[in-house]
Amino acid sequence: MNCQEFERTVFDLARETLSDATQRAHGLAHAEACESCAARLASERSLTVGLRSLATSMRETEAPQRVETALLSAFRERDKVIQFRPIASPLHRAGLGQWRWAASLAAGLALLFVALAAIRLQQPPPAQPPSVATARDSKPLKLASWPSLEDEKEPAVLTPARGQQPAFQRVSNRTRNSLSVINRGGGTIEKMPLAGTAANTAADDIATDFIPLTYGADLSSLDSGHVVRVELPRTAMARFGLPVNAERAAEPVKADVLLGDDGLAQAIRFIR
Amino acid sequence: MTVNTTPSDDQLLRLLKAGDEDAFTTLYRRRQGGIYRFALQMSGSETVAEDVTQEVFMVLIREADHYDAGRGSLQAYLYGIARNQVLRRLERDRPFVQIADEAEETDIPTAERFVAQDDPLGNLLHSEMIDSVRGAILALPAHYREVVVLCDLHEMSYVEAAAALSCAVGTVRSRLHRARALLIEKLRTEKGKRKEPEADSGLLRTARCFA
Repeated sequence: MNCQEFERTVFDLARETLSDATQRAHGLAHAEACESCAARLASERSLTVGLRSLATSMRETEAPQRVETALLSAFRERDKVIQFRPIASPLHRAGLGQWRWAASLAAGLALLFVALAAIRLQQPPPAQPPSVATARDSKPLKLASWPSLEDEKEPAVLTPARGQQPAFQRVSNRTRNSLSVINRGGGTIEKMPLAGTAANTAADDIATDFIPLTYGADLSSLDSGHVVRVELPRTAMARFGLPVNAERAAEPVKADVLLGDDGLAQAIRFIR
Repeated sequence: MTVNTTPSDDQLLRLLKAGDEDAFTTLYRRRQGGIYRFALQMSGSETVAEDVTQEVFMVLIREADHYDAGRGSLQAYLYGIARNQVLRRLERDRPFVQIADEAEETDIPTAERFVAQDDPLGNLLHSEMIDSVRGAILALPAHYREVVVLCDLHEMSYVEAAAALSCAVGTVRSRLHRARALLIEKLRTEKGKRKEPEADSGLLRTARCFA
């Protein structure tokens, strides 16, 4: 070993971290033969002693207790956030299954379209400003069975198998401002007064009944609502069991979204 | 036969992620000392060390998922966070005058520049020696200081230090070699300065006696 090779290993020799026994032996032998390298090794060993003394003197040094206290407090806060996060979700609170997130997502999309349509169209306000009607203000309309084609004489444009899919029907003056709801569970249909732009327009639209966006939702419990006209991809109809003409799949379709008092989309009906 | 029931850092981290406060406390008490001392030895400031320790474990609370066991131990991960925090504070505060890394400015081979003349810490009292070493470490450039602190004061292997510093093992070795050489030079200079006032005061005392 020469002086240059010794210099590369001198600090490992002094720290006794040189794992190669042969190299260590050669290094020590060189230090015995070379006065300069022996002094270099002595300096490194002296430094090692000094560093270890410093390390030993600080061995018991620790962070103050207040750091642990602050961190534990922060940890508990984080834990609270984790515990409360699922409870904060209305769907979780209601104990709804995972599949309902899809319906929720559809509702969210519908709301998005509502917002976009509202911004884009900038329609002038109707002659009568929309007001939220309550069930107390008007008599409940008759109950009907699903699907309700009996209300109108006009033939439905699409006529899927009765009792399986909601059919289109003409929206008359009598029905356009009321809610006719398809109960997917096969129960009755409640009608109630509605407010909103779409509810007050389009007298001759052909529409399906309102289809709940949340499976099993009881729309008859809604005291009042708001209907907003939106445009959706025609393929959205397939998600609600409605037939879609493949040739017109790229075209948008109009729909009325029923918003509850809380602003959440509750039901949808498609317009032709 | 005894069974070791002490949970590993990784086991404690899993429990911590699940919200186990005892696991967090155990992990904190196991690792806080090293982190605090590292920050103190790097910065020389108890305030900085306290802040850094708190921030390191806050990061662990907030972002425990960021730890990748495949890239090194949890200890190295925590030291890595501490190192980044310390460097950020040092960059902001710049409280220390660093030794110029002359080897990078001159062509003189290291072996010739650091040929030992005498023991850099000889004849010093124990407490003086510790103070001198502490001061010399603080005067090192940060990238040399951190390898000395990790490898010599915290007795980390080169591999562990490399994981903490996110660099190659060879880089750790070469920096440690340079850092120790700088420390020896610094300590020798300090020792020389300490001798001069003694000699001066001796002359003055003699002068007064004759007066």
